[in-house]
Amino acid sequence: MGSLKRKSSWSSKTLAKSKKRKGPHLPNSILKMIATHKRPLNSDDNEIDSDVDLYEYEEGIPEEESRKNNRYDRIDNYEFKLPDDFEDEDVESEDDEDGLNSEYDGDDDRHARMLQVLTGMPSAAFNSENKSKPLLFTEPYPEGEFNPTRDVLSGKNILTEEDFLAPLEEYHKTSKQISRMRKDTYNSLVHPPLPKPDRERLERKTARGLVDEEFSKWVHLVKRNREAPTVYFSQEVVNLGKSTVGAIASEFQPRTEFEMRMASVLNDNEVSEAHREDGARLLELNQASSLSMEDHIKDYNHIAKMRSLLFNHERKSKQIKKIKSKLYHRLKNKGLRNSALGALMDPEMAKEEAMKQEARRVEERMTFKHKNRGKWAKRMVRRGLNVKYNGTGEAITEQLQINAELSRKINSLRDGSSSDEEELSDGSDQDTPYKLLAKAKEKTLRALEDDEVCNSGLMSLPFMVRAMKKKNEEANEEAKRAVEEYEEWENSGGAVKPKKTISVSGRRVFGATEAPKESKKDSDNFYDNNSDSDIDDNDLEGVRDTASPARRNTGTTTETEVTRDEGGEDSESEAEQMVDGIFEVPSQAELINRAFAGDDVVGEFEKEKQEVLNQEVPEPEKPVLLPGWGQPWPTNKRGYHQIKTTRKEEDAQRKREEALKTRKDFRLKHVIISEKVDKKAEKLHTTTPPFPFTSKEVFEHSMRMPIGPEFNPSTVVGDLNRPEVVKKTGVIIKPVKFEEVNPNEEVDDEHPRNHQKPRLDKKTSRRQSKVK
Amino acid sequence: MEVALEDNSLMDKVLPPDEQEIDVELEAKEKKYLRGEGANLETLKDKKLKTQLASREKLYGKSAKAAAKIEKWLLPASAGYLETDGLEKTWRVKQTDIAKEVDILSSRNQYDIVLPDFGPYKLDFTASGRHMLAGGRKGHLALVDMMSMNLIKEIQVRETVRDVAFLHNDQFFAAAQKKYSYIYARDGTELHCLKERGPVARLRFLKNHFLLASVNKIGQLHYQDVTYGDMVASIRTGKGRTDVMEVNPYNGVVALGHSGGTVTMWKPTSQAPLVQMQCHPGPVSSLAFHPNGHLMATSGKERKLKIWDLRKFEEVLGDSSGDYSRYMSHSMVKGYQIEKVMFRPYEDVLGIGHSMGWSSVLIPGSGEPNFDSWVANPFETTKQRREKEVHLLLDKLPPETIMLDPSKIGAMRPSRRKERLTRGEIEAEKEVAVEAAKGVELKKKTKGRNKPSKRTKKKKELVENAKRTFPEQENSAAGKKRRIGEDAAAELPACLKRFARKN
Repeated sequence: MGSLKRKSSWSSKTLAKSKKRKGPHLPNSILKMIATHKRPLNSDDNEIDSDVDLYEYEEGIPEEESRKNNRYDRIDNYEFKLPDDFEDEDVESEDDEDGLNSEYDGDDDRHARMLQVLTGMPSAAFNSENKSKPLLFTEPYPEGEFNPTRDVLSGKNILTEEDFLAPLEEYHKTSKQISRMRKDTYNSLVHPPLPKPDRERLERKTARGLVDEEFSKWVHLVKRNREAPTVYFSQEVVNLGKSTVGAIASEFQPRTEFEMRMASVLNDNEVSEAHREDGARLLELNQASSLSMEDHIKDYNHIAKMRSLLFNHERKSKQIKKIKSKLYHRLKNKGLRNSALGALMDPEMAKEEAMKQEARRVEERMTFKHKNRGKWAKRMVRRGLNVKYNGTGEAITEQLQINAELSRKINSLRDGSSSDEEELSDGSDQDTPYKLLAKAKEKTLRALEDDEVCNSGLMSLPFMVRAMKKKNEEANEEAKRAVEEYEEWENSGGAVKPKKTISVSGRRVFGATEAPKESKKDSDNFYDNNSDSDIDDNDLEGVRDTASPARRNTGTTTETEVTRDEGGEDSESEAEQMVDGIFEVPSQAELINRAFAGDDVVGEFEKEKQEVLNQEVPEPEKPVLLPGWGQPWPTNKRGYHQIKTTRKEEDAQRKREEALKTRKDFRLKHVIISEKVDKKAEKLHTTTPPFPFTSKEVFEHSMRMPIGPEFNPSTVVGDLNRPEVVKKTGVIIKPVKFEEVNPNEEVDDEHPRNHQKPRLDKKTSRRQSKVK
Repeated sequence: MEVALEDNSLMDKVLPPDEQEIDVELEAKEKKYLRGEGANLETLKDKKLKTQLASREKLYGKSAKAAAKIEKWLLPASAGYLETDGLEKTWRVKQTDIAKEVDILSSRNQYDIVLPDFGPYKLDFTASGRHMLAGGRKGHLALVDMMSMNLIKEIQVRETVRDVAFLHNDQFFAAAQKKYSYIYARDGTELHCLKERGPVARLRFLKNHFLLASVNKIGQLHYQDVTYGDMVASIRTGKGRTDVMEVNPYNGVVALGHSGGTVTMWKPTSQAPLVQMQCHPGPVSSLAFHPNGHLMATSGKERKLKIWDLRKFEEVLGDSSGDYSRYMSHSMVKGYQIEKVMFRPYEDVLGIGHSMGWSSVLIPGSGEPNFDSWVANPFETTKQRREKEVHLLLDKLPPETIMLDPSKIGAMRPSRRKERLTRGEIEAEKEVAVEAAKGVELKKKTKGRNKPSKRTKKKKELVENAKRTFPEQENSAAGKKRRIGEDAAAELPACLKRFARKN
């Protein structure tokens, strides 16, 4: 029994040890045993036991819990602490012993009680065996040199010499065995577990090592996917089934009875033919089985009748469409006439139209049809009915309007025709110079002949008479000369072209012009070219005026000079060679400089630039202070107040200068570059570089190349514009699979591989930890 | 003297393939197509971005290389030029001399059309150079197919015609007439009368933006969108009448030459000129732009021609050094008044509109020898034209994209000094706001809630609110310096603020 107990105590001790680490779950029976048992004399055990007891005692576990604990399989609790085989063995044995112990305990108790009842003596008297056993003492300090165990102190278990020498006798024999045992014990020795934080740290460390190792395999794969410009999902061809309704329908097989019947009808040749040709036949087919021959004929007749009716109706409606009222036609004709659109399109039609119009005009002229001279109109006017009734008034005014229109057209037509005639005559003159000359001669002669001068009013004054006479004489002379010239030309056979045509060219001619009148006449024709150019000149002059008053004075001279230059433009050197000793002609450049010296264009520009600068970089505001106000009595020598420029103002001034310096046009005197911010164009810029970019330079450099098909060869456009992820709709994207990747492999965009986006996340890491 | 006009034959010297790769010429072309250097990726911390940008750069390089190769092998025609022997000057070469040397097709382009009756002619070509529009001052409008020299349509508008301009293709053209300008269809039908502009002096069409720009007699610049007819902008230039107007083909900026010798550049979204340049002491007589938009040529009434670099706004000093010297000269018949000179696109032809009709002369090297049928196709079929029209409309640019440097679109907004309002202006604005708040008519509420006390209270509140929007002077004077990032954060909606980058 004693040996049994020892064993149990040992097991309890080990258990307690484990318990201590694991928590408060100790079986109740063991607790009891610990409390009652006498400890074995082994000092080592004792020490540990005492430790355990101390701990356990403090723990104070509720009974239910411990009992509840009994229900569970203990192996689970110890799985981390001890090697499996050891645990299992121990726990099993312990279990057995537990049961035994409790039995023994119960027996002892009963026996003691029985003895007590029988003898009437206290139970302690019968406990001789128990007495011999040492009581359990708990040691507050660990055993050591200065703290010997109780046994030693009480002198019971003192070591003798024999104890020391006994093993030496067998030394040689057993040394081998001992060493082997030692080895065994060393191997089988179970060290106490480390403190929890350390253990966990270790655990984490090893786990991390394992996980890292596992993950480092993925790094290249992840890197590749991450740096790939495009990630392709599901490269392999996947059959997604039917894509269209037609494809689905084509493979349809009738299965149910209803479907069979439908199919038989649908595939029936006769039905389909009927469907294609005539809807009525389809109906017949439907009823064919139920109808008799008679009914059939009847139906047929009925249909024929209906058809003929329909046809007749259509024909009639067509006829009716053609019939229109008189009013309609009148309006239509009027519209056509008014629009005269057709006339524009076709010359023949235009001619016809013109004839008609002319006829109408003639008629109007002859009959005064629209002048309200008719009986009805006269009556209306006389009776004042046109005032009374709106309609009549309108009618009368309309008539008048038509008349006015027609008559006005007549007038204008006359004008036009007359001018045409003149033009024609002018034109024909060129063709036949003889005629022209004759005419001119005739005209001049006539002018010579009628020298009538009105002799009344202002013209009768003597000086006016004299002036007129002089003029007349001059004119006569000129006319005579002209006549002579005409005669000469006539004699020469019209070879010489009339002078008029010479002045057609656009070249400016300065100085005395021969026939200013004629040239004016030329430009007086129906293009108002002249007036236009007049406006031009005026406008230009206006501009010049605003530009500089000095310019106006020089204006005329410059022009003449310029034109003179043009005259001799073919050879500049020639002009310079013509220098006479007396009159020195300045050089071309000098002349030009002089010509444009009048207006201070450069100065004006500078002024303008200053204005723009002031506008864009405004001058700092001056303090609104009057001298002497808000300041102490003068301290400077002269006794005057001076407004000192504060530091703020100086700063502002300096800032302005800096701003001016940073402008693009700071060094360019002749240029103003506006630096106004265009708000509308601001949306074309970004304020911050877009996400992956952090620096402006890199972003802008990456933007320098256009990537569109207009700017790149088609071989590269696809690569440049491929989206980040390429996938097929409807294809399931599987999680990334491990594959060996060569870390030194270059990303090759031309031969895209089937790589998937990394899904390296919690899932995989969790798996790793589990494996560990 | 030799003349090489649009040498269409392939280069006779073909390099072996390994030498092709290291062709210097090819490299230069590649560089051109790379459009500048890539960013320095070493500074980037974000590895993902770094590799992605690197791969992108690689693609760009590939694209540039392909483009360079295409240019080299598929666009073999090079621009023609005049070559002279020894001391002979190119500008001594006359059209008759050229005619002897060139092929028949090219020599066909030397002609004079004599139309003495309808005054000096304005010319305009379509972008492909296939069609020409001639507008005589005295109302003669003629649309000519230059390939077949067919007269497509000729109309007489019986009015002064000051300028003519094609719209996006040969189907429509605009004419500035005496009082209004009009838009005509190809068959001479009048489609629109543009009354709003007044008497227009010059008309130009901005083909990327579909804007018809015009300057009228009183110096007003108008931009009208021809797709939906809206007047996009009307700007008073304030510089007086001008009839010198050109469009910079690179960025769509309109340049006007003025009587004071200044050239001003305009865009529709601002009332002030983008640039003003003092170019000449006298009035500016004409203007022209290089197709790449970097160069501008101006001429003044003082008989000087100047060439300007528009990137620096400085005069190019090539006049004396020989970069820009006289190339060719062509003397007109005495008395011809030249109205308009215009190069025909994709041909070495210069059209000259003058008072006696128009002439066409050969200027070797003036035209781009390789036409891109996606840009402008002289041999366009009807279907292609229609397709093109739709594409053009889809690619139409909004008017605000007209700016001096359009390559900056999409880049970061240029940092700007915040224009702080002056104290007086703030006060004035505040006053206006307060007045507006006082003037607000309150709704008539139900009986209990319409008490005078409540109404006055409400009104006071409104005024206070109005005042609150204007910060106190002292606070603003203190000048809280906000960082750029914060500025950006302030602009974001509240929910996105947390994503704003902290600098």
